[in-house]
Amino acid sequence: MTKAQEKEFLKQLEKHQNIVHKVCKMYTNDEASHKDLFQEISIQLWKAYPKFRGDSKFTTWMYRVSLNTAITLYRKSKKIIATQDIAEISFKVKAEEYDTTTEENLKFMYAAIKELNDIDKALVLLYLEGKDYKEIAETLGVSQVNARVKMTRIKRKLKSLLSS
Amino acid sequence: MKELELLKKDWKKQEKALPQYKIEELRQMVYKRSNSLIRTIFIISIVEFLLSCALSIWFVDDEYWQLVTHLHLKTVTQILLVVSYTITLFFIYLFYHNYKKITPQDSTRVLMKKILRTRMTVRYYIIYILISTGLSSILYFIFSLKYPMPETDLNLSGINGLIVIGVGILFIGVALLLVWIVYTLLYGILLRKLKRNYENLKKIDL
Repeated sequence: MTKAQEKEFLKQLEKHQNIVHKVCKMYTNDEASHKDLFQEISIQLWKAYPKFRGDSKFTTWMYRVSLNTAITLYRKSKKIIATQDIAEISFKVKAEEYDTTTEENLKFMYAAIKELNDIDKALVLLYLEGKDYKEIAETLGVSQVNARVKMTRIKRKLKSLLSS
Repeated sequence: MKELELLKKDWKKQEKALPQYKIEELRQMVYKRSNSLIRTIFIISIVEFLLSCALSIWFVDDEYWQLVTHLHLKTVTQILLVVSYTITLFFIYLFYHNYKKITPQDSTRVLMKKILRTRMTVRYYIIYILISTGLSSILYFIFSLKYPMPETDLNLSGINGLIVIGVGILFIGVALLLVWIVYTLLYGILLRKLKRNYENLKKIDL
Protein backbone atom coordinates (compact mmCIF):
# COMPACT_ATOMS: atom_id res chain seq x y z
CA MET A 1 0.00 0.00 0.00
CA THR A 2 1.23 3.49 -0.78
CA LYS A 3 1.98 6.13 1.86
CA ALA A 4 -0.99 8.15 0.63
CA GLN A 5 -3.33 5.15 1.07
CA GLU A 6 -1.91 4.54 4.55
CA LYS A 7 -2.46 8.17 5.47
CA GLU A 8 -6.02 8.10 4.15
CA PHE A 9 -6.78 4.86 6.00
CA LEU A 10 -5.40 6.12 9.33
CA LYS A 11 -7.34 9.37 8.94
CA GLN A 12 -10.57 7.43 8.41
CA LEU A 13 -9.81 5.07 11.28
CA GLU A 14 -9.12 7.95 13.64
CA LYS A 15 -12.31 9.71 12.58
CA HIS A 16 -14.54 6.63 12.96
CA GLN A 17 -12.73 4.86 15.81
CA ASN A 18 -15.86 5.02 17.97
CA ILE A 19 -17.34 2.22 15.85
CA VAL A 20 -14.46 -0.06 16.81
CA HIS A 21 -14.62 1.04 20.44
CA LYS A 22 -18.33 0.24 20.63
CA VAL A 23 -17.77 -3.23 19.20
CA CYS A 24 -15.00 -3.74 21.77
CA LYS A 25 -17.30 -2.53 24.57
CA MET A 26 -19.91 -5.05 23.50
CA TYR A 27 -17.55 -8.03 23.35
CA THR A 28 -15.01 -7.47 26.11
CA ASN A 29 -15.20 -7.18 29.85
CA ASP A 30 -12.08 -5.32 30.86
CA GLU A 31 -9.80 -2.57 29.68
CA ALA A 32 -6.90 -4.79 28.61
CA SER A 33 -9.16 -7.02 26.48
CA HIS A 34 -10.80 -3.92 25.01
CA LYS A 35 -7.42 -2.64 23.84
CA ASP A 36 -6.37 -6.08 22.57
CA LEU A 37 -9.54 -6.46 20.51
CA PHE A 38 -9.26 -2.87 19.26
CA GLN A 39 -5.77 -3.67 18.02
CA GLU A 40 -6.83 -6.89 16.27
CA ILE A 41 -9.75 -5.08 14.57
CA SER A 42 -7.40 -2.31 13.44
CA ILE A 43 -5.03 -4.91 11.95
CA GLN A 44 -7.90 -6.66 10.13
CA LEU A 45 -9.22 -3.32 8.83
CA TRP A 46 -5.76 -2.42 7.61
CA LYS A 47 -5.27 -5.80 5.90
CA ALA A 48 -8.70 -5.65 4.27
CA TYR A 49 -8.40 -1.99 3.23
CA PRO A 50 -6.89 -2.69 -0.24
CA LYS A 51 -10.02 -4.74 -1.02
CA PHE A 52 -12.35 -1.93 0.06
CA ARG A 53 -13.75 -0.76 -3.24
CA GLY A 54 -16.05 1.91 -1.95
CA ASP A 55 -19.22 0.03 -2.98
CA SER A 56 -20.50 0.71 0.51
CA LYS A 57 -19.79 3.53 2.93
CA PHE A 58 -16.52 3.31 4.84
CA THR A 59 -18.44 3.12 8.12
CA THR A 60 -20.65 0.24 6.87
CA TRP A 61 -17.51 -1.63 5.86
CA MET A 62 -15.98 -0.87 9.27
CA TYR A 63 -18.96 -2.32 11.16
CA ARG A 64 -18.72 -5.49 9.09
CA VAL A 65 -14.97 -6.05 9.53
CA SER A 66 -15.09 -5.09 13.22
CA LEU A 67 -17.98 -7.42 14.03
CA ASN A 68 -16.48 -10.27 12.02
CA THR A 69 -13.23 -9.87 13.90
CA ALA A 70 -14.95 -9.81 17.30
CA ILE A 71 -17.29 -12.72 16.55
CA THR A 72 -15.10 -14.97 14.43
CA LEU A 73 -11.44 -14.05 14.09
CA TYR A 74 -10.44 -12.72 17.50
CA ARG A 75 -8.44 -14.96 19.78
CA LYS A 76 -7.80 -13.44 23.16
CA SER A 77 -4.12 -12.86 23.73
CA LYS A 78 -2.66 -15.05 26.47
CA LYS A 79 -0.83 -12.07 27.94
CA ILE A 80 -4.07 -10.36 28.97
CA ILE A 81 -4.88 -10.20 32.64
CA ALA A 82 -8.31 -8.81 33.45
CA THR A 83 -7.91 -5.62 35.40
CA GLN A 84 -11.43 -4.45 36.15
CA ASP A 85 -14.79 -6.03 36.50
CA ILE A 86 -17.27 -5.72 33.64
CA ALA A 87 -19.83 -3.73 35.58
CA GLU A 88 -17.15 -1.26 36.57
CA ILE A 89 -15.90 -0.38 33.13
CA SER A 90 -18.35 -1.49 30.48
CA PHE A 91 -21.49 0.57 30.29
CA LYS A 92 -21.48 3.41 32.72
CA VAL A 93 -24.86 4.91 33.45
CA LYS A 94 -24.47 8.41 34.74
CA ALA A 95 -26.56 8.55 37.86
CA GLU A 96 -27.06 12.31 37.86
CA GLU A 97 -28.83 12.16 34.48
CA TYR A 98 -31.59 9.72 35.43
CA ASP A 99 -34.00 9.02 38.23
CA THR A 100 -33.30 5.90 40.28
CA THR A 101 -35.74 3.59 38.45
CA THR A 102 -34.45 4.58 35.00
CA GLU A 103 -30.88 4.22 36.14
CA GLU A 104 -31.62 0.76 37.55
CA ASN A 105 -33.43 -0.26 34.35
CA LEU A 106 -30.55 0.86 32.16
CA LYS A 107 -28.01 -0.95 34.29
CA PHE A 108 -30.16 -4.04 34.18
CA MET A 109 -30.53 -3.87 30.41
CA TYR A 110 -26.81 -3.44 29.83
CA ALA A 111 -26.16 -6.41 32.09
CA ALA A 112 -28.78 -8.44 30.18
CA ILE A 113 -27.16 -7.52 26.84
CA LYS A 114 -23.81 -8.75 28.15
CA GLU A 115 -25.44 -12.12 28.78
CA LEU A 116 -26.60 -12.52 25.16
CA ASN A 117 -24.71 -14.77 22.74
CA ASP A 118 -22.24 -13.20 20.28
CA ILE A 119 -24.69 -13.13 17.36
CA ASP A 120 -27.50 -11.55 19.38
CA LYS A 121 -25.03 -8.96 20.68
CA ALA A 122 -24.20 -8.04 17.07
CA LEU A 123 -27.91 -7.58 16.32
CA VAL A 124 -28.40 -5.40 19.39
CA LEU A 125 -25.30 -3.34 18.61
CA LEU A 126 -26.42 -2.62 15.05
CA TYR A 127 -29.93 -1.86 16.29
CA LEU A 128 -28.64 0.58 18.93
CA GLU A 129 -26.48 2.19 16.25
CA GLY A 130 -29.69 2.88 14.33
CA LYS A 131 -28.95 0.58 11.39
CA ASP A 132 -31.90 -0.57 9.29
CA TYR A 133 -32.76 -4.25 8.96
CA LYS A 134 -31.41 -4.36 5.40
CA GLU A 135 -27.93 -3.42 6.64
CA ILE A 136 -28.18 -5.67 9.71
CA ALA A 137 -29.19 -8.62 7.51
CA GLU A 138 -26.41 -7.95 4.98
CA THR A 139 -23.76 -7.61 7.68
CA LEU A 140 -24.64 -10.89 9.34
CA GLY A 141 -25.64 -12.78 6.18
CA VAL A 142 -29.19 -13.60 7.25
CA SER A 143 -32.53 -12.70 5.67
CA GLN A 144 -34.03 -9.31 6.45
CA VAL A 145 -37.30 -10.80 7.71
CA ASN A 146 -35.51 -13.19 10.05
CA ALA A 147 -33.24 -10.45 11.38
CA ARG A 148 -36.36 -8.45 12.26
CA VAL A 149 -38.03 -11.49 13.87
CA LYS A 150 -34.92 -12.20 15.91
CA MET A 151 -34.64 -8.59 17.06
CA THR A 152 -38.30 -8.59 18.12
CA ARG A 153 -37.58 -11.71 20.20
CA ILE A 154 -34.55 -10.09 21.82
CA LYS A 155 -36.59 -6.96 22.65
CA ARG A 156 -39.31 -9.12 24.15
CA LYS A 157 -36.70 -11.00 26.17
CA LEU A 158 -35.23 -7.76 27.51
CA LYS A 159 -38.71 -6.47 28.33
CA SER A 160 -39.65 -9.61 30.23
CA LEU A 161 -36.36 -9.44 32.13
CA LEU A 162 -37.18 -5.89 33.16
CA SER A 163 -40.72 -6.64 34.26
CA SER A 164 -39.76 -9.80 36.18
CA MET B 1 -40.93 -0.21 24.61
CA LYS B 2 -39.80 3.09 26.03
CA GLU B 3 -36.84 1.52 27.89
CA LEU B 4 -35.31 0.49 24.58
CA GLU B 5 -35.58 4.01 23.23
CA LEU B 6 -33.96 5.22 26.42
CA LEU B 7 -31.25 2.63 25.97
CA LYS B 8 -30.67 3.85 22.41
CA LYS B 9 -30.25 7.39 23.66
CA ASP B 10 -27.94 6.31 26.48
CA TRP B 11 -25.91 4.25 24.02
CA LYS B 12 -25.25 7.40 22.00
CA LYS B 13 -24.14 9.18 25.18
CA GLN B 14 -21.60 6.44 25.86
CA GLU B 15 -19.55 7.82 22.95
CA LYS B 16 -18.35 10.69 25.10
CA ALA B 17 -16.65 8.31 27.51
CA LEU B 18 -14.81 6.30 24.84
CA PRO B 19 -11.01 6.51 24.66
CA GLN B 20 -9.61 8.30 21.61
CA TYR B 21 -6.40 7.16 19.95
CA LYS B 22 -4.16 9.51 17.99
CA ILE B 23 -3.06 8.70 14.44
CA GLU B 24 0.45 7.72 15.57
CA GLU B 25 -0.96 5.25 18.12
CA LEU B 26 -3.20 3.77 15.43
CA ARG B 27 -0.26 3.48 13.02
CA GLN B 28 1.68 1.46 15.61
CA MET B 29 -1.33 -0.79 16.18
CA VAL B 30 -1.97 -1.71 12.55
CA TYR B 31 1.62 -2.87 12.11
CA LYS B 32 1.47 -5.22 15.10
CA ARG B 33 1.27 -8.98 14.50
CA SER B 34 -2.23 -10.38 14.18
CA ASN B 35 -3.42 -12.99 16.64
CA SER B 36 -6.42 -14.05 14.57
CA LEU B 37 -7.94 -17.50 14.29
CA ILE B 38 -7.15 -17.60 10.56
CA ARG B 39 -3.48 -16.94 11.14
CA THR B 40 -3.35 -19.66 13.80
CA ILE B 41 -5.11 -22.20 11.57
CA PHE B 42 -2.81 -21.25 8.69
CA ILE B 43 0.34 -21.74 10.80
CA ILE B 44 -0.87 -25.06 12.25
CA SER B 45 -1.81 -26.34 8.79
CA ILE B 46 1.52 -25.37 7.27
CA VAL B 47 3.29 -27.15 10.16
CA GLU B 48 1.12 -30.23 9.52
CA PHE B 49 1.97 -30.25 5.82
CA LEU B 50 5.68 -29.67 6.43
CA LEU B 51 5.84 -32.26 9.20
CA SER B 52 4.23 -34.97 7.06
CA CYS B 53 6.59 -34.13 4.16
CA ALA B 54 9.65 -34.06 6.47
CA LEU B 55 8.72 -37.41 8.01
CA SER B 56 8.39 -39.10 4.63
CA ILE B 57 11.72 -37.63 3.46
CA TRP B 58 13.42 -38.65 6.72
CA PHE B 59 12.16 -42.24 6.48
CA VAL B 60 13.05 -42.77 2.83
CA ASP B 61 16.82 -43.37 2.97
CA ASP B 62 19.13 -46.10 1.55
CA GLU B 63 18.33 -48.46 4.40
CA TYR B 64 14.62 -48.01 3.69
CA TRP B 65 15.10 -48.89 0.01
CA GLN B 66 17.10 -51.99 0.97
CA LEU B 67 14.26 -53.04 3.24
CA VAL B 68 11.48 -52.53 0.66
CA THR B 69 13.56 -54.34 -1.97
CA HIS B 70 13.87 -57.28 0.41
CA LEU B 71 10.10 -57.15 0.96
CA HIS B 72 9.46 -57.22 -2.83
CA LEU B 73 7.71 -53.84 -2.50
CA LYS B 74 10.13 -51.52 -4.32
CA THR B 75 7.87 -50.76 -7.30
CA VAL B 76 4.79 -50.47 -5.10
CA THR B 77 6.66 -48.04 -2.80
CA GLN B 78 7.83 -45.91 -5.73
CA ILE B 79 4.26 -45.65 -7.05
CA LEU B 80 2.92 -44.88 -3.56
CA LEU B 81 5.46 -42.09 -3.04
CA VAL B 82 4.62 -40.41 -6.37
CA VAL B 83 0.88 -40.66 -5.63
CA SER B 84 1.40 -39.39 -2.06
CA TYR B 85 3.43 -36.32 -3.11
CA THR B 86 0.90 -35.51 -5.85
CA ILE B 87 -1.99 -35.70 -3.38
CA THR B 88 -0.11 -33.58 -0.81
CA LEU B 89 0.62 -30.91 -3.43
CA PHE B 90 -3.04 -30.95 -4.45
CA PHE B 91 -4.11 -30.45 -0.81
CA ILE B 92 -1.63 -27.59 -0.34
CA TYR B 93 -3.04 -25.89 -3.44
CA LEU B 94 -6.63 -26.44 -2.23
CA PHE B 95 -5.83 -25.15 1.24
CA TYR B 96 -4.08 -22.03 -0.04
CA HIS B 97 -6.90 -21.38 -2.54
CA ASN B 98 -9.51 -21.54 0.26
CA TYR B 99 -7.33 -19.50 2.61
CA LYS B 100 -6.87 -16.68 0.10
CA LYS B 101 -10.63 -16.38 -0.32
CA ILE B 102 -11.14 -15.59 3.39
CA THR B 103 -11.77 -11.91 4.02
CA PRO B 104 -13.34 -10.18 7.02
CA GLN B 105 -15.39 -7.96 4.72
CA ASP B 106 -17.70 -10.84 3.80
CA SER B 107 -20.93 -11.21 5.72
CA THR B 108 -20.44 -13.01 9.05
CA ARG B 109 -22.11 -16.15 7.73
CA VAL B 110 -20.03 -16.32 4.54
CA LEU B 111 -16.84 -15.70 6.51
CA MET B 112 -17.63 -18.51 8.95
CA LYS B 113 -18.47 -20.88 6.08
CA LYS B 114 -15.17 -20.12 4.36
CA ILE B 115 -13.16 -20.74 7.53
CA LEU B 116 -14.96 -24.03 8.14
CA ARG B 117 -14.32 -25.05 4.51
CA THR B 118 -10.61 -24.30 4.87
CA ARG B 119 -10.49 -26.27 8.07
CA MET B 120 -12.31 -29.18 6.32
CA THR B 121 -9.55 -29.28 3.68
CA VAL B 122 -6.98 -29.81 6.42
CA ARG B 123 -9.25 -32.34 8.10
CA TYR B 124 -9.55 -34.35 4.84
CA TYR B 125 -5.79 -34.19 4.47
CA ILE B 126 -5.28 -35.60 7.96
CA ILE B 127 -7.86 -38.34 7.29
CA TYR B 128 -6.03 -39.18 4.05
CA ILE B 129 -2.67 -39.29 5.90
CA LEU B 130 -4.06 -41.54 8.64
CA ILE B 131 -5.78 -43.95 6.24
CA SER B 132 -2.85 -44.14 3.82
CA THR B 133 -0.36 -44.58 6.69
CA GLY B 134 -2.57 -47.26 8.24
CA LEU B 135 -3.01 -49.18 4.99
CA SER B 136 0.63 -48.99 3.95
CA SER B 137 1.76 -49.99 7.45
CA ILE B 138 -0.47 -53.06 7.31
CA LEU B 139 0.87 -53.88 3.82
CA TYR B 140 4.52 -53.59 4.95
CA PHE B 141 3.73 -55.49 8.12
CA ILE B 142 2.18 -58.42 6.22
CA PHE B 143 5.06 -58.51 3.72
CA SER B 144 7.62 -58.38 6.53
CA LEU B 145 6.00 -61.53 7.92
CA LYS B 146 5.95 -63.13 4.49
CA TYR B 147 9.59 -62.23 3.79
CA PRO B 148 11.20 -62.03 7.25
CA MET B 149 14.64 -60.53 7.60
CA PRO B 150 17.32 -63.27 7.72
CA GLU B 151 18.50 -62.31 11.22
CA THR B 152 15.06 -62.79 12.81
CA ASP B 153 13.98 -66.20 14.02
CA LEU B 154 10.28 -65.52 14.51
CA ASN B 155 8.10 -68.61 14.64
CA LEU B 156 5.05 -67.46 12.68
CA SER B 157 3.34 -70.76 12.10
CA GLY B 158 -0.24 -71.31 13.23
CA ILE B 159 -1.55 -69.30 16.19
CA ASN B 160 1.78 -67.48 16.70
CA GLY B 161 1.48 -65.83 13.30
CA LEU B 162 -2.05 -64.69 14.02
CA ILE B 163 -1.02 -63.21 17.39
CA VAL B 164 1.88 -61.30 15.83
CA ILE B 165 -0.38 -59.92 13.05
CA GLY B 166 -3.10 -59.04 15.59
CA VAL B 167 -0.70 -57.22 17.93
CA GLY B 168 0.92 -55.41 15.01
CA ILE B 169 -2.39 -54.16 13.60
CA LEU B 170 -3.56 -53.17 17.08
CA PHE B 171 -0.35 -51.21 17.66
CA ILE B 172 -0.72 -49.33 14.35
CA GLY B 173 -4.41 -48.69 15.09
CA VAL B 174 -3.73 -47.27 18.57
CA ALA B 175 -0.92 -45.02 17.28
CA LEU B 176 -3.15 -43.61 14.52
CA LEU B 177 -6.05 -43.19 16.95
CA LEU B 178 -3.85 -41.16 19.28
CA VAL B 179 -2.83 -38.85 16.44
CA TRP B 180 -6.51 -38.41 15.54
CA ILE B 181 -7.52 -37.61 19.15
CA VAL B 182 -4.78 -34.99 19.53
CA TYR B 183 -5.74 -33.46 16.20
CA THR B 184 -9.48 -33.40 17.00
CA LEU B 185 -8.84 -31.85 20.42
CA LEU B 186 -6.60 -29.15 18.96
CA TYR B 187 -9.11 -28.03 16.34
CA GLY B 188 -12.02 -28.65 18.68
CA ILE B 189 -10.66 -26.09 21.15
CA LEU B 190 -9.61 -23.68 18.42
CA LEU B 191 -12.96 -23.70 16.61
CA ARG B 192 -15.33 -24.06 19.58
CA LYS B 193 -16.36 -20.38 19.56
CA LEU B 194 -16.74 -20.25 15.78
CA LYS B 195 -18.90 -23.37 15.65
CA ARG B 196 -21.14 -22.15 18.49
CA ASN B 197 -21.62 -18.78 16.78
CA TYR B 198 -22.23 -20.42 13.41
CA GLU B 199 -24.98 -22.57 14.92
CA ASN B 200 -26.58 -19.49 16.55
CA LEU B 201 -26.44 -17.63 13.25
CA LYS B 202 -28.02 -20.53 11.36
CA LYS B 203 -30.85 -20.64 13.90
CA ILE B 204 -31.90 -17.10 12.89
CA ASP B 205 -32.74 -18.32 9.39
CA LEU B 206 -34.54 -21.48 10.49
